[in-house]
Amino acid sequence: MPRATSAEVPHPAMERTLPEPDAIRTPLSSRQRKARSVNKRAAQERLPAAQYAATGALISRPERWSELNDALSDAAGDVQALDDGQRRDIQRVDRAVQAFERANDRGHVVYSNVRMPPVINRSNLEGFVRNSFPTGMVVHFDRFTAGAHTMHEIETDAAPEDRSVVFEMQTRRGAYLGYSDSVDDTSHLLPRGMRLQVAGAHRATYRRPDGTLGSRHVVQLVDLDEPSTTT
Amino acid sequence: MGWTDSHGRPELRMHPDIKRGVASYRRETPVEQTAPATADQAAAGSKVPRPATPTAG
Repeated sequence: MPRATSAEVPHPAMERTLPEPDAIRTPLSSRQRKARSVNKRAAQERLPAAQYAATGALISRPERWSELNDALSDAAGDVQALDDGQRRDIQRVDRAVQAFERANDRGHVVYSNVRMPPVINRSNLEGFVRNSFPTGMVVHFDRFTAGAHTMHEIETDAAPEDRSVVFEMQTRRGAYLGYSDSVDDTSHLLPRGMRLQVAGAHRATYRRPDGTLGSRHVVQLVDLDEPSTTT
Repeated sequence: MGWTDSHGRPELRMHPDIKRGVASYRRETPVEQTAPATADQAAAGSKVPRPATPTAG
């Protein structure tokens, strides 16, 4: 598995920690987005052509995203079990993500959608989440994980059958792939092979850029590869 | 005209359907600290099926 290569955080204020359960999750500030965009562009500037192409194909083509990630899931994350072409491209993306990590000097809180089993719906979602994600439980990501730094960007439909919740993850890992403050895009690519520990589960409120509020169930996770949590 | 790097390559951008897609994970069953840990238990804990749908979009 690719190892963490995150740069040092020069000041505690540049860490991001999980919000309190009753805190309203707000969009990333303009200053934060500008700073992350500067680091992103600096990292892209140094990417070799093959890593740029492999990463670009993975994150811009849903069919490629599914193909490589499904292959990783089928192999339980063992890249050596894949064919040469898939293994080569995955390892190129691994190295690209590490390049972004080296260029980044900030902590992240990343949000990703997760879908519960088909027997779950909105009426029994809360109890299921509480029972299924006890504090201290560890989850593994065998594949690459996509998300954003804000909850409103990953909103799903609010239909009664909606059974998705949000992973709210504190980590130093991955690549910020969002933009500066001119576009509502704070995308983030997390590396494969992550281990995260559940820190809590509750319903959380978030604010959209237009000021309206939304609410979803979140499972808070802390990266076990964080320098401060590694034993 | 968007930003391009010095190699003339456009800025990497994630497809919104991928960003809003569904993450896939598997659970590791916590090992009781008072129970004797065995290789079999550890292996079983790492094989819990993933409940999430493994597709984006």
